[in-house]
Amino acid sequence: MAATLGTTEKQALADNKALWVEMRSPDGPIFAGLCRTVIVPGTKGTFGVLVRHAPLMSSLEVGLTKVSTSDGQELRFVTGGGFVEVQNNRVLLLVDFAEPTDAIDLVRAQDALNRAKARLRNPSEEVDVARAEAAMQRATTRLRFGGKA
Amino acid sequence: MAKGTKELKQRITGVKNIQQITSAMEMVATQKLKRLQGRAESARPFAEKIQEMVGRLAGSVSRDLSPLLGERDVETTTNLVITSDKGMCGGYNSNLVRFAMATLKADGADGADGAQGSEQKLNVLGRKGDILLRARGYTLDTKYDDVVEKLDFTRVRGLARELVADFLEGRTDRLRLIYTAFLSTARQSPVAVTILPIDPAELIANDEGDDAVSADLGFIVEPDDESLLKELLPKFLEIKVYSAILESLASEFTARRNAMKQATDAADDMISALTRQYNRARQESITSELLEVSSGAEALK
Repeated sequence: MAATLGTTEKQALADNKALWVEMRSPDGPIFAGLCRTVIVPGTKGTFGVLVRHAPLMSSLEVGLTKVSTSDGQELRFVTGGGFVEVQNNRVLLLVDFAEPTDAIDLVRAQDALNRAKARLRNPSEEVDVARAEAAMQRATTRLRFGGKA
Repeated sequence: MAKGTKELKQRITGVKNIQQITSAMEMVATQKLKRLQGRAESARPFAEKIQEMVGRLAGSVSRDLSPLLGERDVETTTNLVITSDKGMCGGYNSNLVRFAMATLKADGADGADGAQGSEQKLNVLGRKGDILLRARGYTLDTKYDDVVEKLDFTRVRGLARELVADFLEGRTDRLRLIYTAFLSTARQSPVAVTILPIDPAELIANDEGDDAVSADLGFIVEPDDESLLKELLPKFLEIKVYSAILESLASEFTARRNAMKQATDAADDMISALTRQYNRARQESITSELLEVSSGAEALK
């Protein structure tokens, strides 16, 4: 899935034929490749990016990121909060986490959600509230977008 | 058998036992290193990209927009020294501590960076750094145990937030990380990196000069400059601290693996020297017994 930005790819970018989309989380690269469009959950609303998009920087919400690659694939990722930068047909997505929706285990997500809820219901010394909240948000997003192709 | 052979045999067994332990520790360290190296190497590009982003954004807006960008007279510097919780890793901790001491000293002695005689606060991660620095007469302001070994992004985030709050509330004017950078498995070196206040010019200078990258393209910024900075800068600092800890850990396990390898090799040498000594002693005792027997037989003739 992770292509590299070679000469052919750079030429495609210079000719405004495609976008170079790169998605990373602190745990490693998630996706890189030539794309036609990418739709991201921006803080001010979901927006799409096509070639020749004006240079842009935005923060991202937890949500669904859709990528249409140049070879016709439709990829959907659940992405954590983060940032996107667009310039010269390059799209850089830096997110807290990202997972392809079809790889999401709905049962596990439901379990995680229940666990996080239980923790928040009985807060004690050992419960890290911020962490439980983050886990809950993550599980909710997974359940919302996960599973369907 | 003559006296001495028994003790030699005991020593050989002892050294063999130690060797078993060191070689097991070497294997454990190698495994851990592999995992950590992977993590450190995947976190680094993320940190670099976010740094470039910060550089481009911060370079194009006024520095007044975020207090994290503001330069001030440095009266207090907080140093976050990252060491290990456990020993048995060669010169890893003492090298870093020596480097940290030199860094602090340089700050006190010459005011080249405007930090002349500034007060130095020491925040130490890792039990070993705590012990070593206190033994050298330094007073530590804060120490954190168990953050290094049980690395977890949420905890690092909490730590980074505390440090940022110190800066924002004026308890410190500069934040510096002192840690062991992991350049490759063959090369690690102690570094001191100032991460607060953020200097956009420096971040752009670190930019690789990629053909498509420039600072003033007139970015559309959403939601707006100030809000984006408010999210981006703390995230950047968290990632910086996180990847510094990851790199330190990778360096620590490299150092531990090397130390244990050396110990295992040294045990090998020692075993062969002792075995030679043991064989000689055994041979001597056989020879002298033979001599006794033959001279006894001679006397009976």
